[in-house]
Amino acid sequence: MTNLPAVPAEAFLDGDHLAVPADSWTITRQVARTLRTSAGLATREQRLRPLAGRPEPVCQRRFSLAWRHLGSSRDTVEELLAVPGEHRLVLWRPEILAWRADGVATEWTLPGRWLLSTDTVTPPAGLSPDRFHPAVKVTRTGTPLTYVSKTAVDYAAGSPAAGEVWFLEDGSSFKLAAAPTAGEYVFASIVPAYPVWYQEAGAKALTHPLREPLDLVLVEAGETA
Amino acid sequence: MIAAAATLAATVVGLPSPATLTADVDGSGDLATLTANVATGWAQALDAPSIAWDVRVKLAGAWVPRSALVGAVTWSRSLDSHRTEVRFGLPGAEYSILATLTTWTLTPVELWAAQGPDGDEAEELVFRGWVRPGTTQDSAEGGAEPVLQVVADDVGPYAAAELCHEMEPFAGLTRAEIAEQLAADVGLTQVRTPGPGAVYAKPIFTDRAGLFGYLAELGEPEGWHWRLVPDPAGPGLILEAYTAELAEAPRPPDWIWTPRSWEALSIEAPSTVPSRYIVRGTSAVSYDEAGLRVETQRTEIRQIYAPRVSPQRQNTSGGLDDTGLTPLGEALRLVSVIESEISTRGELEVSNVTREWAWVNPAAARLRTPNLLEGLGPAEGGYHYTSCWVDSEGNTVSLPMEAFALVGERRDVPAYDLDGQLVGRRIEERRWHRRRMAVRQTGDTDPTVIGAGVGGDDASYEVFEAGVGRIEAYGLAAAHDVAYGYEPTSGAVLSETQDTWGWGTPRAAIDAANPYYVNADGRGMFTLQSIWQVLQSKSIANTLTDDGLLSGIVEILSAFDVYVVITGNNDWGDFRSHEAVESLRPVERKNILYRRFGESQVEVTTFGGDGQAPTTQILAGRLPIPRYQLSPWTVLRQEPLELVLDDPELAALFGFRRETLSLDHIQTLDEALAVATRRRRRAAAPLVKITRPETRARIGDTVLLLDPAHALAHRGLVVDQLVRRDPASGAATGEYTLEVYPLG
Repeated sequence: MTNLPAVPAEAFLDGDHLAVPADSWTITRQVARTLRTSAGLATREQRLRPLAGRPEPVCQRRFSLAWRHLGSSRDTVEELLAVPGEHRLVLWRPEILAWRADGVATEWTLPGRWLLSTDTVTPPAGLSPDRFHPAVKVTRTGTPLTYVSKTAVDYAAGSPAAGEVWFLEDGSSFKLAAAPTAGEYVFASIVPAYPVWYQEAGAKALTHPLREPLDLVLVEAGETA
Repeated sequence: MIAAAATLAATVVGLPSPATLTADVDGSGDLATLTANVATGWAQALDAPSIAWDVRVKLAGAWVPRSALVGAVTWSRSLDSHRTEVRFGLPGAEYSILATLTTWTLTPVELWAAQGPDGDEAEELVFRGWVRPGTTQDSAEGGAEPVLQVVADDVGPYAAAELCHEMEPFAGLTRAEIAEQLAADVGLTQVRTPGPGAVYAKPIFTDRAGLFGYLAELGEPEGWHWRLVPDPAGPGLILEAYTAELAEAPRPPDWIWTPRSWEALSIEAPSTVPSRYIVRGTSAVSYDEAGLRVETQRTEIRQIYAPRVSPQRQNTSGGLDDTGLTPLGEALRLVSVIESEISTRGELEVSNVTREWAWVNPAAARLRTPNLLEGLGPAEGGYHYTSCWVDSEGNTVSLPMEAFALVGERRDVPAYDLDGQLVGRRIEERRWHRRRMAVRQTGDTDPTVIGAGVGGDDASYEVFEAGVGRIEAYGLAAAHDVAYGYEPTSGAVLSETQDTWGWGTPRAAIDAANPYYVNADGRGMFTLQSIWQVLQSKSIANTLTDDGLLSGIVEILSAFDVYVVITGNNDWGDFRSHEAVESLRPVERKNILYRRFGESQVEVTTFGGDGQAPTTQILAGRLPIPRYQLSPWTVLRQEPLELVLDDPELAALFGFRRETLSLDHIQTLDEALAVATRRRRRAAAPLVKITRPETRARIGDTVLLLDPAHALAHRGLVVDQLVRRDPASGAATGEYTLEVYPLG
């Protein structure tokens, strides 16, 4: 993919800039996929089928960060997490996703309730949002399509011209001009704003009443369907 | 020569979607050859190297979001159970016991499973059933979100349904038809069986048994196992019987599994194996099968007895000559033999004959009428004396001494229709009897009839042996014809007629104006001799209550009779009448009325035929029961059958152990043998338990297991199956139990 940021951008939580480099985060993925091994190391793959319109792979992410890295942002984070509910985490990190085409569908959905990072926050340090826009192509060797962001009204009313991909502004859907051939994959590199929950650390981690546990853990909200 | 390639659409049983069959026909040789390929993508969907799957739950008609399923979804089936059981967890207050009824009451559940390589996935309905009432909702440690475990099965409302069904024996229904009727009782209208099964001759009493337990026993002799499968065409379930037989070589196995197929394998050997099977049951027998049986009973009576002799004989002038015969001395002699012979076929009586032998000396006439060439005789009235014998009691007899002979025979032959229903009976009596005969015509004064004799009672009879004047003959003396009419719905007797036949003639007037005949005793006779005719007729008509009990009887007796009129035109000797001849007419009518009087009393009112006031009685009890049509229940005979199956080989291997099976639903030894053989085979089978990726193998499939490390090169029958699909890990695991039969 072509749009890796030139410099590591710092993470944003609920639109607030955290003075923490994005590469301090540990991202763990649990993928609904099992490799089964039988005698002679014969392996087979079994995986949960994505819901209709959703990409491969079906997975859930956990984001963790040592509290000590938060530094001056610590109070900000504590304030943000004191409010219950879903939080939005932007790590300025692209995720590669793949949708299997059935020859009919032209519209797909991002996993979970992902939003495009550029729809939620402005990239820091004066970086151009172009760098973080989705890069979509049909088949791995296809030509990248032009990203066009559309309001809900325009998105619903029209359809993309050839060579364009329309993303719903502040939404999770995108659509192409024509349905790719069945069996082909549509690849997208997305810099998402993850919907996350704050996972309270267990009591054992509180070794000192004034000290936070070692890690701040955020869990991806995942699908609701 | 035929050569063609054809593509046929075929529906393969058990597949949810049509499979494609592509075939080439080569007719170049003597025999045409069909080479066919069936697209088996669906069947192998789970065996591809990389598969994607999904599992969807529909609860009360609404899809449960995937995000609302916690943990694995499992479903299990067994050869020994009709039940498919499904389990899944639902989180949160939304599904709580106190928030909704759908998670713990009989709520419809459907389970849809999709699987296959990318782009070739097929989705099918694997389960349709109901939530099993009763569950628990647990919170994990720390008060986290509670999870409610839902257990569903496909017996739902049928689980506790009790059967109330009765079928008569010999109803001619096959096991499949019986299963259909029983299933319909609890609301399962679609039943599928591998074949009709045997005709079940025994009666069916379900006696509040559960449907599935009852069907399991009913179908075992056929080798049927039961399951419920979703109806592809509707919202219901189909009750399906299937057979599970190991496909022996050279038939191909359904699947071949090697160590590359599974992740874990264990083999469990049987420990307690019966070596002797005793199967007990009964078989129904009908008349036809029972054969004809004749029961003969003979009673002999011996007494101190001296047969009577005739010490005198009458001569033609009326005097008595000594015969010189002296009485035999008394001795213990056989004086009577009664022999009864009852022929039956099953419970049906074919005939009942009773014969009696005794000492007999047929009566003779003392006087006879002149014959053609004679004039009037010397006796009073112009009769001639016969040469009869006179016994020691003074009776005129026809033999010099009593003879031991057949004196009577009663033959009772019931009549049946094609259904074996008793429709009537004929009773014939043969014995020594007399037939009245006239001695003159009305108007004559002298005896003018030839061949009549006057007996000791002064009446005249036909003479059978002229020399001694014998007036008694052995032969058919009376007959009774009885016919029954039945009420079609209750089967109760509605009418009964009894005609009595005998030798006789109507009585007639004796004045000269009528051209009739006169007996020696002065009574008129319509004909010269007795003729064989109906002498009496009785008809009985029952009136029935709605439930087939008697509410009344009308009994009419008809006989030969004449109305006496004091100033009648005709002289009958001892009275007068306007009629000249007796005719057959009702002479007595009796009405009996039964009325239910309270709970356990019956009022019986009898109206006599002769103008008497009715008599009323109150009797304890219920309304009387009329005679009923023969029911299949009453002709059923169940004969016990027992099969002992000994297996010395198993006794040597496992020790002696006996298993006694009392199976109500086996009918023949063949069925008992089939059941015992199947049970024996399964009891001695080691179980192979395999954990592996889920596969398409189903209960009753044959799997060829190949694993040198376990010395496995055997075919196994899948008898248990548990599928676990875990959305969190993407794993679709199957646990399979297979029976292998190394001991045959």
